[in-house]
Amino acid sequence: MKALVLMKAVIDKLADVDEESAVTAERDEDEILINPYDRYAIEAALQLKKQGSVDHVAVMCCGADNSVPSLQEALAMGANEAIRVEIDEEIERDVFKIARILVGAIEKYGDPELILTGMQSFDIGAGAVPGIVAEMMGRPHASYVEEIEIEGQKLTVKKTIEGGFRKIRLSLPVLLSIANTANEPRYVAVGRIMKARKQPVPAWDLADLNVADLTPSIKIERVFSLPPRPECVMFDGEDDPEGAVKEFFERLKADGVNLEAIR
Amino acid sequence: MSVLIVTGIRAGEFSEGTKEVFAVARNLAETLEVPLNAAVVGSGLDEIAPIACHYGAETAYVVDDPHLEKAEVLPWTTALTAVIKHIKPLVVLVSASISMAEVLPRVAVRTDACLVPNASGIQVKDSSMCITRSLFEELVFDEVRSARDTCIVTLTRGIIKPAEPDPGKTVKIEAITVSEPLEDAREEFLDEEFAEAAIDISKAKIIVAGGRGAESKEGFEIIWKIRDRLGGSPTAEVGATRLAVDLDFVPYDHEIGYTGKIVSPDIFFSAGISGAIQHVMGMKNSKVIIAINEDEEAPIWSIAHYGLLGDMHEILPAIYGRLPDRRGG
Repeated sequence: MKALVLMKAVIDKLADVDEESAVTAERDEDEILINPYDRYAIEAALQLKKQGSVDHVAVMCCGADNSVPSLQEALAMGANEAIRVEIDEEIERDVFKIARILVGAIEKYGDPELILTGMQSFDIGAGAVPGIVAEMMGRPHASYVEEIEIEGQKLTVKKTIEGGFRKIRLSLPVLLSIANTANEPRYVAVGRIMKARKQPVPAWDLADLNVADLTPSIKIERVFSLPPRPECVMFDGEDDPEGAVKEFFERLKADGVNLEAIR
Repeated sequence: MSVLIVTGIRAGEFSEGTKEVFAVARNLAETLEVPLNAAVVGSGLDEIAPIACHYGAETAYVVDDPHLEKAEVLPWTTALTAVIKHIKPLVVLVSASISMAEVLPRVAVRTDACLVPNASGIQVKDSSMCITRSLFEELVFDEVRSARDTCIVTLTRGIIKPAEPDPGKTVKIEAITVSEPLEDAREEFLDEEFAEAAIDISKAKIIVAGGRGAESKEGFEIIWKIRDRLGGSPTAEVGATRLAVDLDFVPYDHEIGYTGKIVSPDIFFSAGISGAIQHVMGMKNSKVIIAINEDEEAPIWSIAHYGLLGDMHEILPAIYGRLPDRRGG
């Protein structure tokens, strides 16, 4: 059985994001990385392959040129195949547009029985695309999945809920979004990543896909950021924890923060 | 045109998040001069359905069926779709939760509605709704308008004080018949284990929280001790990340974050917690945040007011030593 992991390439949090620089397609490829939540999905697929439940892991990403290194890193992790769908900035923040393109690409890829995604993306952070894609494709889905057991045409899945876990059984074909507590994504040596940079990644054009209408579901009016929070007042307690704590309490007092009064 | 709130029920009561959404929904309905209704979906709803009207719904639309007892995705999608197709609201407001995060995207497809998850605010500008979304884990925000007849909006926690119920309000209940079968053989509930919170830490004035860095239940002992020195329950409470709860360092009552409590105490001590958004969204409105962590790059520093860099197992005892012991009178 093939597993297809839907991956997103996102701006590195450490590369600074503000209202002027929030368009992924316009950032330098050094500032783009695999959506951190998707690593858990890639890892889950690779573990299923190791167990023998899956024989081929493909990774698909809708992105601009700058997403290619992320796809190559997925290959370095152990994916068998990587595919890019070329998209531009207009699509980026509309969960329906993203989902429609993915459905078109998944159909072109051959409707694999098992589709995995990360639980959310660093940029939109809603975790909405998995459910939209699953519904458009008429498959059952589960989110925040921690464990997967495949038995023939059924899967047993353990997933997170508020305060605990739930076990459900789903019939294939399915879509699963993987919790960021499901596993420890494997570390890939830099050398291997550099080697994978030489691997070509095929790119599909939107025109090659059978995509249902791309009329927007939302109109974006304004993009803004909040004024920065005040810098954290730091005390270095690595060598002298007592000394740092003493200075800290003196600073609290000077700033008028009174733990006693609050008690 | 109307506003519809989809209610979330936890342990037989509307969830805290739902009470917050009632407050937003009431304001919005008033501003738009349209009615507010509620969708009450689940099983065994006779007692709770009228309470939706106490919270401000003109009509509580109810789908009450044993197949909806376990919040399974496909049955709930079918039920909510039927309600929305019947009412055709302008906007559907829901408090963010795990089950709604799974169900609403599917409902949006079936009802051809627009979906705006993670909304931190909703206003009326130029006679139509403008919704603020948080992006890049709150580094950037945007304002969007719906391009569809119905817009489904999930609201993040903590943006408004919860609404208060008025038992004097008129109660009007309408049962919705769902013509499609609710059951779907492709999805089968097997088992669940979860803990309901026995104590409510969200009212504490001081919280002392621990995460992965505590390393064990024993590692949390110093956190409990500091909590005691700072006044003990209920003024001061212990908090934790989801991970600390999953690893059995503390019970679920103490979890702060997306699947736990939202808190905004006067003082928040955060020890051995990296600062991932799922936890931080539950405490970032605390007035004074003091973080203790040995990682210079931890995201927690970007929301903390004071930071102590170092090993929490050395720093916390030093903090404890400086807090006066007020026991014994």
